[in-house]
Amino acid sequence: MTSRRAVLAGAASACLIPGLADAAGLSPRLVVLDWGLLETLLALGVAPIAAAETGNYARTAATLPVPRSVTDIGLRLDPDLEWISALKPNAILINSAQSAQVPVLKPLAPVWRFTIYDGSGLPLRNAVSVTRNLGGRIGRSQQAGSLVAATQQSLTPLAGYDGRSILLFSFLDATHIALYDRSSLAGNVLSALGLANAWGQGGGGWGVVPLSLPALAQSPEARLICFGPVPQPARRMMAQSPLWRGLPAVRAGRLRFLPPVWNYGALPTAMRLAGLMRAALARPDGQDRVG
Amino acid sequence: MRPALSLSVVLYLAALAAALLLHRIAVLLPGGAWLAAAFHPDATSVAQLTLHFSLLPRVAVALLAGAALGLSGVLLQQVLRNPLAEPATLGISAGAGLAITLADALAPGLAASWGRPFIALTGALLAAVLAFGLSAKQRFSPIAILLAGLLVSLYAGAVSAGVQLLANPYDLSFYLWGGGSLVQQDWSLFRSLLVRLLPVGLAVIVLVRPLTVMGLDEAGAKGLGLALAPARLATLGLATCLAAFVVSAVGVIGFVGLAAPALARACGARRIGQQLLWSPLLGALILWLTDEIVLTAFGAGREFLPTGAATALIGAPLIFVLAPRLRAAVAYARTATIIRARHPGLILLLWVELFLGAGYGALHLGRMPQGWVWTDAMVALRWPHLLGAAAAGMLLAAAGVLLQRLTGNPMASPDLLGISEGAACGRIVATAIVGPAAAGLVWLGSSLGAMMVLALVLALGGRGRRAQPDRLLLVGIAANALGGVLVTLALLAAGPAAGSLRAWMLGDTGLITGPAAITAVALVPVAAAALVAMRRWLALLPLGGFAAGNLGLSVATARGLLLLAAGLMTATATLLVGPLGFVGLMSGHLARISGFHRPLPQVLAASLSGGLIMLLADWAGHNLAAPDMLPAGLLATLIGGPYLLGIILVRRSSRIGAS
Repeated sequence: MTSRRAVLAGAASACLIPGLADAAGLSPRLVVLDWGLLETLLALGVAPIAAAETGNYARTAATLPVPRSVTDIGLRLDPDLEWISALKPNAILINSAQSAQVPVLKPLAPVWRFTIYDGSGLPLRNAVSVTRNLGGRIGRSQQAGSLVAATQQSLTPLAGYDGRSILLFSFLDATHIALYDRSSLAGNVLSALGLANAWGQGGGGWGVVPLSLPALAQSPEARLICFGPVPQPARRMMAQSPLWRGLPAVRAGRLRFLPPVWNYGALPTAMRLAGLMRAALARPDGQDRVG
Repeated sequence: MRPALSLSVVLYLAALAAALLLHRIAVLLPGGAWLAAAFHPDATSVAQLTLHFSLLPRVAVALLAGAALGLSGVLLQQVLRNPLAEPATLGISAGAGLAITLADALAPGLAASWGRPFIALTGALLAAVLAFGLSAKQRFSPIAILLAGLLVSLYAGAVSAGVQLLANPYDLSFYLWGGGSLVQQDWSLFRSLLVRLLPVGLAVIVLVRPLTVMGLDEAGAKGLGLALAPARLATLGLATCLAAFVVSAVGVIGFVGLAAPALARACGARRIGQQLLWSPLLGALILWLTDEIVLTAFGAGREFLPTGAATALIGAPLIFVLAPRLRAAVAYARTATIIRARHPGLILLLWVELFLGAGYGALHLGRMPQGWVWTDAMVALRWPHLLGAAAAGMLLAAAGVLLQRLTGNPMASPDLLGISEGAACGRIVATAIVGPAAAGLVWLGSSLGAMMVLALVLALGGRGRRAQPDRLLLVGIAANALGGVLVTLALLAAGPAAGSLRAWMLGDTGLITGPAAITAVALVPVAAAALVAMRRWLALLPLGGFAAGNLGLSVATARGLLLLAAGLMTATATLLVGPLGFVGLMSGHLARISGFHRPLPQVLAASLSGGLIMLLADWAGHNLAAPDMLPAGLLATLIGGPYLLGIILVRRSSRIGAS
């Protein structure tokens, strides 16, 4: 974990002094419309001049701190073109799901498009190649190499685990959950850690399956990992519902609560997921309470 | 009443639903454990707990909610003497839903301390008062009340969507389950719903006699010495309570309140006493069966189509069948005061100048990182979406006037008739097949969608010996609801791209490119030229098919061409600004109250005002909250909705249901 901390800390400090990167003539003026690309840039030690929904990122994803120098230019799916143009960027970075924006972005600056979530179900593998690709384009190949190496180091199989399969989910409301299957980044990290995803279906697709609560009862042997935020109605449900309390995993305390994690992230999120899961599964059963 | 027939329908529905339920239980548990699990589940058996705390309470809540909606429907239909009245068509359910959405988003503490049922009831009552107020001048004629309810419903739905968007731009759960979800995890919801509904149901028994008399006319009732007003108010109040409690428990569920009484009557329940008995029973069974079908089709836990939306699949065809039988109880004449503009040319010129001035200002004034700035540096970025939005507004307005004149119905417009929704569905299907890059094919698909809905609405709404244009609107409600089911499914399938699909549905204009805007603008003069060529038809068609035919006009050809034009204009505009907004409706009214009645000036004036509304909405959406964007279509609705309601309340010349 030390290497992960070192990379992230290095990233953070480099961001706080963006002048260093500029002085080397290596860092172009970048605008980022995707959070996965934003955190990859930050981890490579480059602060973009602007990014979409920086406030939301800090609240809901928060893998890396975003420097104050980064201007918020609005919604990811509909950024403020005028603000972007006023910042005179050298390039605009988007993900492939934002391709509809290419025609309106192209007049402002060259658009760099990266694909992590393409329905192949392998976002972790895609994030590795995107990191190398992006690092090469901004003259940070070496840092990209270290980021990839640090990620791979954090993804070594978990030792001493009892081998139970795991259900990854978060609450949408009191009765509906978003379940993360093998195609999700969290699902990819889970298998890289040598753990089995209890949701056997799926594979391919976007990785997030909306389900209603009784679906959790379909895997009685599993251990549950619940990502935040937990909405108020879901907290009430957990306190009152006999069905919830009767779930074998809940009864046996095979339940872990994790903070919110952005489920369409890149390598920094993968590293954070690996660290969070590792720490959570090292805790004994029956200890986690909803935070 | 033919009890045998009615009973057999009930038994048939119940058997069907029960069979599906038993199949689901059989998959879950071996037969021997059913009874024990139903009453005393083994706390260590997940299957038994699921049966007892999830499966059975869901059936119970479906039955209870369905019964309440069926009862509410029959009460409303009897007191309003209107076979299409129900909480959903009168705007009551949408009002309750909006109140809950607002409370959840703005004051979560309020919902906890006051209680959701109370908040829902407040919203439902406000919506009912609004709908009745809007139709008061028409002496609550069935058509007027339905149209007012529809307006209230659309507006409340749009505000709910907007609040959700602002509160959480990426949370789709509102779209997925805002339409009513029956998922349960214990019996608490069932118990609290039962405690609230039971007293209301008992109170209805007291009203059976007054309700019987209400079926008679006013004079007959007075002859029996009954003051009807208090009984009517009490009935409306009880019906509103029933609907509000259901919404607060499981969300907005449409069409059950419509279908149950209709089915009861079709089975031979003629007297109100019989209907009060059979409608709740049938409502319970309809909702239960719908839910069983959804659960069986998608599998346990995978509730991909919320039951509240799935009821549209049953209810919409029912409206298609029932609408032709509906008559306007109060004949509405075209004798409203006609204001004529003194100097139409001069006024039009002023409007043109206003439009150009606003356009010039919008191109230059904007909110930048350093504050509000007047600059010409941003013109190149601003003109595509400003021009595209304005052109879309003009096309929608022109299409609105076309439809209004063709159908002789001042409320006809692309949005209310479901044509915009048809274009949206066409776009979604075409994009899924050919991909978003093939712009020409997507336009074709969108146009096909618009034309299909237009043909459907006209075929079903225009049948009968004498033209009854208001049927169009009712068929339009149904078409809109059916389209909504498709949109829900498309959002679920879209994965990470669902956000941009939703943004477009709400009228986001940020992605309009220069070429797209120019294409739309190029269509404006083409449409104008076509209208000039067809202006004689436009002037004659509102006289009615018979009169127009006497004047030597091939009615079929004229209507066909004009409808084609309206469909193409709607599709082009919808691709730019989404299906939301009352622009097509508002602009025609604006033109009329400004004194433009002959076809050509009316189309011109309406187009100018439609263009201006969308131009301003687009500018405001891009700047008021910069760098965050607000969808222009949503803003136009939020601004235009109250304006339109205001016009209807204040101006005698533009009453609902009269031109």
